[in-house]
Amino acid sequence: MAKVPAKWSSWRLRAEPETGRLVRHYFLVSLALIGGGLIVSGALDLYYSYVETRQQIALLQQEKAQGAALRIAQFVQNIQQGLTTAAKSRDLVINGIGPSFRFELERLLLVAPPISDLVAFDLGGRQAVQASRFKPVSARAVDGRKWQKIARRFQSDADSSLYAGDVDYVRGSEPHLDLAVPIDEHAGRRLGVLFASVDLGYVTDVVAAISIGKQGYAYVVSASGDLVAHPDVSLVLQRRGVGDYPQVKAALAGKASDAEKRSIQAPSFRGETVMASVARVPGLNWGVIIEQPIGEVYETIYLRLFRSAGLVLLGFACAFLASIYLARKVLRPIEALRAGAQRIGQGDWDHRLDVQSGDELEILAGEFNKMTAALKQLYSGLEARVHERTQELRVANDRLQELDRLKSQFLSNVSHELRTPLTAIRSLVDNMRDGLTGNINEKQQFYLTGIRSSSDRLSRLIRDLLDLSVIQSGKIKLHPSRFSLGSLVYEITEGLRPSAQEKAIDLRLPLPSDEMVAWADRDKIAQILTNLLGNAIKFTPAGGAIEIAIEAHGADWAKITVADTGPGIATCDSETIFVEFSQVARPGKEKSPGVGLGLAISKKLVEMHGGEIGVESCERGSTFFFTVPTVSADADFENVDSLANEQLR
Amino acid sequence: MVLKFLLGSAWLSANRKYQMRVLRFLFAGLLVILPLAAQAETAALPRVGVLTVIGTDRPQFKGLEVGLDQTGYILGKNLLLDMKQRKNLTELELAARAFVDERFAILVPSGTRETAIVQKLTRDIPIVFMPATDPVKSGFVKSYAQPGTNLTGLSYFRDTDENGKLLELFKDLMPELRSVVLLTDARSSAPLYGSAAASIQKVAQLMKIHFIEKQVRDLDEAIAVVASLERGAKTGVLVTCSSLFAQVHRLAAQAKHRSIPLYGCSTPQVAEDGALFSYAPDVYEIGRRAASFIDRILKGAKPQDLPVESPRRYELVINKKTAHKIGLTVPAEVLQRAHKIIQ
Repeated sequence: MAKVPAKWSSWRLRAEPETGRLVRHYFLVSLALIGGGLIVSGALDLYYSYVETRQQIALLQQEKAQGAALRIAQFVQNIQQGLTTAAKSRDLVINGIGPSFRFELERLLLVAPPISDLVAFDLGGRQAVQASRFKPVSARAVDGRKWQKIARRFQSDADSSLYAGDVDYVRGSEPHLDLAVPIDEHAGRRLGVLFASVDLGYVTDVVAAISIGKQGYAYVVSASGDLVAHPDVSLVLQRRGVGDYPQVKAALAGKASDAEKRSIQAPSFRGETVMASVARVPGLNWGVIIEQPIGEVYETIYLRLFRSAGLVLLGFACAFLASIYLARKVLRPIEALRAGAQRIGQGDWDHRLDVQSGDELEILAGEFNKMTAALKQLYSGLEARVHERTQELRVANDRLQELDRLKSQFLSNVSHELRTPLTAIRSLVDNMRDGLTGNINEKQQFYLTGIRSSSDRLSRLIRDLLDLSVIQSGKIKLHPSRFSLGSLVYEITEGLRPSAQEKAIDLRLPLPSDEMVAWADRDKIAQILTNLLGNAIKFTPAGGAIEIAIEAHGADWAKITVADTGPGIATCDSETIFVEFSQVARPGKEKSPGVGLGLAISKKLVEMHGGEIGVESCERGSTFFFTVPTVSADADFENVDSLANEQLR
Repeated sequence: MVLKFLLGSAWLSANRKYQMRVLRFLFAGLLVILPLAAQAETAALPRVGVLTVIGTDRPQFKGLEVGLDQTGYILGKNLLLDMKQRKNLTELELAARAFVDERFAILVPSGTRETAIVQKLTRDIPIVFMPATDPVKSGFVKSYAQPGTNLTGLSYFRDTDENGKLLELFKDLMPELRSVVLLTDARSSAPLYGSAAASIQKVAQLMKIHFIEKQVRDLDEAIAVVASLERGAKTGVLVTCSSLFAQVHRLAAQAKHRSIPLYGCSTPQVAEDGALFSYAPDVYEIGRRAASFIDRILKGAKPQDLPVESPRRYELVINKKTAHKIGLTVPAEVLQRAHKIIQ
């Protein structure tokens, strides 16, 4: 397995999805869509069911009410027909309204049970013939005025064939209806009137036979709002006035009103809420009311409600399962994609996604596999090229190291070999100058001094080359010790002060405020400082000034700064000025003597101490600095040693 | 499950003697508990006490049972119907007192005098008379629409005036009727009978029929009155319908023997006992309707709020055999009006 690039690993960690979120999302969306649809359709179904059921029940009630009204009208018509038939009996033509007519009336009582009493009278209110189902008629007086009143009505309206009076409650309890028909001998000759008192208890039989649902019932009210017939006979016999109920008012409204075309929701006599429909009895000012407890009306609706609710719940359960199935079906290939991407991300380039969903996800997986193959190929080629370049670099590096080693060895050898004859030259020159070879004239002295000076310079060059070669070969060792940094600086400055004075350079060394103790190789620090101070004296014109400063640099370092008033340097590129054999160009100055090793050696030495060296200013004079590790003056020696060694490392 | 297993194991591991002892104990327990449970179940049922001095085989009682059945009551299951038939009113009062003491739910006296007796015994137990004549005049209820007492039920004649109708019918059946003898119960102190007699007397006067009222103490006395009447004297005998004339067949036999037409109080008295005719409410229907009162009261209705119902259907029953026997020819028009003719 190839190594995973770190960048990819971090990407994989960042892109880790929240587990289950997508499943939930898909599940909820599916559930919302399917369940929402079910609820909406269920609610609509319920609403329309409610409306339709109410309409159906209202229609049924209205049909029943009208049917009941017709049956009551038929009941009255039957009585009327019986009366009319009796009123046209042959006996009347022969005998008029006389005692013999009583048998006709008795026969009518037999065939028409609702009739309680019958009275036939002539237009003068005399010769009344009576028959009664319950009463002795011989002891009964006839109210002639009442009959005459009815008779006049028939006389005033020749076409009238039936008189229907108000509902009369016998003994304050039993509703009776007065009916009367004219008795005509023949067309145009009116003999009298036949009056009947009809027991409306039989109307109760009519309405009691009407069934509406389980608890529905019908009842009849008179024009005065009194109950005429009700399945609960007690209510009728109590002569219950119900005219104030909305459904009764609607039933008794002046003419066939809209109330007959719709149902009314109102309280019943029993206090329960009912759905009522009304109709008017043709020919009478009576109303028929059909009532059904609202609970029963809504029973059908509730049944549908429960059925629909059950279906919605079932649908929800199905939607739930379907949502889970869909979510899983959609997410399984996505999960496969994710897992595959994770494995490939972990470096398993040979892994291939196996998604066979038959849709875009399968195509996506295929493209992903192709991409993985291409990446693998690319990655393999990249590795090979990196390996090849690394090999080339390693060879080149080895060659360079060898060359460097050879250079250092060459320098070391050359320096060593050059020093020996040079030392001999210097010794010989010194001998000659000291007069060991006899007196020498001034000119000779001059030349010998020149030789001595050049050999000194050559000796320094060789020493620098040797130092550099030693440093580069890594053979140089630091020998750290505690020493007063101020003392060292003072010592070096004072050593170089004569050279400065020669050029009338003001060499300033302010007294350090705190005594700083360095932990370093004293000789190396002295060499660095000498190099920097020597350069400053060298490049500072006569009458200039050089300022040396020591200051704390953080807790564990001291910073030594050498600032001159020379012409500065052309470039502040520390990378350049601290490179071996590179000489700093000074504006307006010719190339200085030397080979450009001083700063390079100083840099190496500072770095060996773990410090830093650089140039801070290069425009108005030059300011060079370097840092030296310090320890506190009163530090424990053993600890100081260990701490300082740590720093130097 | 565990308990069942443990009990089962214990049972199997017990010896036979022990098993028999347990079984005997359980059996004895059942013998004690079952009757108690049955009694407790029966005691919880509402009890209705019917009180009559006439036979419980009469139509109104059959009608009552049918009505209760139609209303959804199954006797012995959800209702106890205790019918007490007693020979006379004294014994009937004792039975009624027993019902009151046992706190029966409803008392159902059959007849006006029976109702009067029960009325005196209780003011809180609902009483459904089945039937009673003119309950307002009898002092049972304040009005038909609002009884206002613990009594309600069905009227026989709506009022005593209806008695006059009987004489009119008598005259229709027997146009040559010259006099009528009214037998009344001398033991009755109710003003009702006086009122009934007055109604008949009034009609008799209007119809120019000689009216004679005879108070009798028992049936033998009544028979003696009939026996004293002249044979074929164009005289008819009416009776006020009370318990005294419940067993009318002896009287009817005497009347036939004397060729005297006799009014019977009910269809059976005409059809079976030989009276000439009767014109009375359909007592079967009265019994059937009484079931509705019982039902409503058991469901919480107060008798004072239940209006008294009146019979709507009256039956004219004529015994043609009796007519033939006494030499009476019933006019065809009257026969046409009869609901039932005993041939």
